[in-house]
Amino acid sequence: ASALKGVTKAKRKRKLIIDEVKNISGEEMKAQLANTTDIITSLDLAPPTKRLMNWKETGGVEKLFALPSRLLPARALSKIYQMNLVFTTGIIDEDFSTLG
Amino acid sequence: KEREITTDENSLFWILRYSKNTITTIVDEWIENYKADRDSALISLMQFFINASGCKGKITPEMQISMEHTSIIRKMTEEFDEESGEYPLIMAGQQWKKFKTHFCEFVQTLVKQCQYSIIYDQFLMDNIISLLTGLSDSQVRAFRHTATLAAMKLMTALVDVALLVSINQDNAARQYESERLKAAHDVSEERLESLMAKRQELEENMDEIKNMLTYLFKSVFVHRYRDTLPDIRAICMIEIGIWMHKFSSNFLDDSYLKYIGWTLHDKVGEVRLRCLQALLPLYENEELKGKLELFTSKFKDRIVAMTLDKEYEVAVHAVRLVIKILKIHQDILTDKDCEIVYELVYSSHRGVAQAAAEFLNVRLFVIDPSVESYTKRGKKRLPNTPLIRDLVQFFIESELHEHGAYLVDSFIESNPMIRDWECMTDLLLEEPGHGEEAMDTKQESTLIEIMVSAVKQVALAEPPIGRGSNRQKTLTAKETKQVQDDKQKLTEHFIQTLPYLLEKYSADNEKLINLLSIPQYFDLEMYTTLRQEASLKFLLDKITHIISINTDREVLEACAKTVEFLCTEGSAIYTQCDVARSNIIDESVNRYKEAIDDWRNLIAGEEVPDEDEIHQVCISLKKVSILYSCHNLNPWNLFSSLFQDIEEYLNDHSHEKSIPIEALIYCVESCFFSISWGIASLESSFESSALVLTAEELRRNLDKYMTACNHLIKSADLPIKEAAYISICDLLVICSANLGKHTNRYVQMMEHRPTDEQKELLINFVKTYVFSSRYDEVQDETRIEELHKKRSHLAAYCKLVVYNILPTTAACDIFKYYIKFYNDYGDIIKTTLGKTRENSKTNCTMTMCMSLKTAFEELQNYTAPDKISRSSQEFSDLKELAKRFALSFGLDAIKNREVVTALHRAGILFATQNYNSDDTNPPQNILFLEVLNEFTNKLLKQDKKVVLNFLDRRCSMSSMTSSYSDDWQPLLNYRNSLLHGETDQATT
Repeated sequence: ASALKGVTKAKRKRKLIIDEVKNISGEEMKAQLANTTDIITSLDLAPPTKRLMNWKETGGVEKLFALPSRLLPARALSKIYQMNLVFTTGIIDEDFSTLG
Repeated sequence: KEREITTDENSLFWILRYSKNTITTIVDEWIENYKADRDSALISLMQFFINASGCKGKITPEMQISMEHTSIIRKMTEEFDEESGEYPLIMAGQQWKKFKTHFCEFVQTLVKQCQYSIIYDQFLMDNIISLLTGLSDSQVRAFRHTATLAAMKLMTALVDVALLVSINQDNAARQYESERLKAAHDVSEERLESLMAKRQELEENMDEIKNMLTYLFKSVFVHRYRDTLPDIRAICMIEIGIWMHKFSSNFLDDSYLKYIGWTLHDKVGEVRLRCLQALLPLYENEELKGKLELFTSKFKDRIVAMTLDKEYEVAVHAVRLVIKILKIHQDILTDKDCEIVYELVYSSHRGVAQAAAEFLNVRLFVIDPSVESYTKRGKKRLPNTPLIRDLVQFFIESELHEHGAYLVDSFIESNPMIRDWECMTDLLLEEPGHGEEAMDTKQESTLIEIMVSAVKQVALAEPPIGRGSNRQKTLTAKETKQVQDDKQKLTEHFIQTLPYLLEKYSADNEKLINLLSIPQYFDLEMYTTLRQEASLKFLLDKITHIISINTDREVLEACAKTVEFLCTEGSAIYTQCDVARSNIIDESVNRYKEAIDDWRNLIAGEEVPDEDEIHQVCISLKKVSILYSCHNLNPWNLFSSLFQDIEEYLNDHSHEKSIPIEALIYCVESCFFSISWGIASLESSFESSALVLTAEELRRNLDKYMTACNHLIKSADLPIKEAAYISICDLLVICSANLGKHTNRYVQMMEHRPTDEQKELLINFVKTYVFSSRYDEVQDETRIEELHKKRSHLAAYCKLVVYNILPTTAACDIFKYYIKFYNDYGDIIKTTLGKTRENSKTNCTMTMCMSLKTAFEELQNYTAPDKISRSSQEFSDLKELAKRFALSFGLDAIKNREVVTALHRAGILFATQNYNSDDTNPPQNILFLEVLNEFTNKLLKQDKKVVLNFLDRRCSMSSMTSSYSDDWQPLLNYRNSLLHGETDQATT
């Protein structure tokens, strides 16, 4: 029964939209002309220093999980790290006997 | 199948939707009908507008005869299917989008095809206008919206007719005049009269069109431009812009412009955007300039303010409009106005920043061909010179950014000065000529910063972080070619100039750091193709010298990295660079050996090293560790010496005889690099018996080093602990089980699995330093740096769990902090949860359960000897944690049914631990059932039963009823929700 209910619920359309108020009132228009602070923002500054820019670049969760903790600027070292950052051993169910 | 608004295949609505004919054909057919029987054709047209609004009501001929339009609309409203809220204009899907376009086109074609006679018949237009006016005034949104669109499109079509009539009027006037001016005997009175009549007719027609336009404007536009529905307001703004542009003699007037001006203050971004889009073409037209003057002065402030609009798209358009205003009314913008736009070049949003740069290009960065200047030795300065000087000054004075990456990105696509390398290096290298102002050091640094940022972006073809959103990821073949060309150009230029720049600025670290990175963006092959080996030698000499005399970390890092790049294997210049590299390393290693020998001799002689001797140890080790991070220093056999100081530090508890902490950290890092390089070279060498000794030694070093790091983590000094922690985490990855599968058996030998002791040390480090309470909330750079460090430490640990180097249970203590540290680490812990779940649902779920259990026990210990209070903040935090865990399972209960059931069982076992059925007191951990309760909505109905049975076997209701107290409440609640509670997803 609950399944049937779900179907009718999904199919039911919204009702005809009647706008009791059709126009923005004169007062609202005046208020909107007088005050625009809510549609204006302050300058959204890009990272102002190199460090902040670097953190933005490497501080995201994706990069954190992909890069080594110590910077490895040498291509050969970074390669050996990436090569071994792989999921290898098969999954074994771990021991949870402490749980009871 | 969708709901049909009409099934009448002869209705215009049906035909417009399904007919394969063109709209002109459809209109022409309707005109034929109209000519045959205008009443019935009119009904069909009226019916079309009703249907197009989504209304199924039918207009009958009787209604048409007997009722006013307002009454017909009332009747249609009554017949509007109450069950439907949607109507064609807002329905989703391609077919409805197409219908909307066809609808507009139909209205316009209708007017066009009727423009020579029918529109003046005082019947058709009167009726349509009256109907649309009535509908556009309806409270029924579908009618109002649809009719407003039709009325506005009707006006646009009438504007087209007016334009044509106006042309015809001019022609007729000309014909009349030329006829009249003919010699008296040639003038045909008859022809004059007919031409006169023609002129009169056209005049009347024009009046009539204008009347219709005025009427529609007053009866529809003036009300609807302030409709409560933003879509309707947007329609009004789009169309009024078109009228002003096409029929400026009639509409481009302050009595119309004011509507756009007011609407610039609209609360909805989309509507504001339409206003700006309407205004832009008007400002492009030189002839319309004068008519906009008053409007501009009235609304200029608002338009400038809109460059900081909340919606980026609006802000971008506002900047574009300000540029147009600047072009035609230069004086109207104040300095303050301009400054607002200037600063936007530093915006994080690329579109806004690029538009602002365009503004600067118009206002400030204009080449003046009359300005000529020469350097001291008589070289003519390039045309961009004054612009670059201005850009440098602009950057310094704006004081918003300390680096050039974003400024450069703002200009890179619009102003070629940003890649005028010769102009820039001339400014830096050439002595100022007569009458030229020399640059001060700040200006030079700034220019270098801008130049190197530009080199980087040109070579990588990648905007700085956060600025990439509106750019496709992969380059086309043409773009790749362009990047290659740009790179060659810059390489060609800097191959020659860079050594001189390095020479000139060798004493200024800030400048050096930037300059030294330039070769990393070179196309190295060009050294050979351009026969520039001498320049390469010059460059290598400079770098060698800098490494030898400089002690600044960033300078040294830049040198090391650039040499690493120059030593790209397989390149034609490899040998030359490799020789230089060996010399650099030789010198640094020798200095280290001397310094450390001196140190050890002093210590052995019970002497106290002086400041200079300490300094020598630190500096030489710093260079070794920085070089080691980029180059394989293993042939210099430094490991035992480096490790010796670590061992001595560990053995000497007073640390009185140890090298300074700073130096010790360099040793820890260098040994880490030594082992990593060792593995990397094993990996790339062919298996041979000679390798066995190397491999065995490397393995010994690895074991020694790991053991030492284990001890260092316990050390007193945080920077040392951190270094050791990082070394262990990274080595656990490099030496992971993956190595064990390597085809080279010597590489295989390097596999290292974390010992229990090591696991313990790592998690303790994380618990102490990552999850330590935060001291201040100030968001200054130190605090951000601190946070980044901690996040990196946490991720280092979580990564080990995610890649199965540590078991999932190792994340038990991490999961526990999910809520408490949500702001700082929520994303990292969430990712760990998700990835461990991908690895194994069971391990992840049971670790969650362990986490909750551990947190519960900690709370018990914390409150002991009292019981945990159900109403305490700590306990509700724990429940919140459980709720978040439960949410992380997602909505598909079937996918997780087994693990969720297992979680409940494990939780019940814990809650009823040490409880016997004949006990009268409730189980000690009974409150844990409330935590468990957060997961009941993740159980399927049938599984709830299973869990309930399991629960009842562990802790029956009978004991509860016999000794009821409030303490039993958690069991009652849990049971109840297992019996009745909601389940996320219905079962089949």
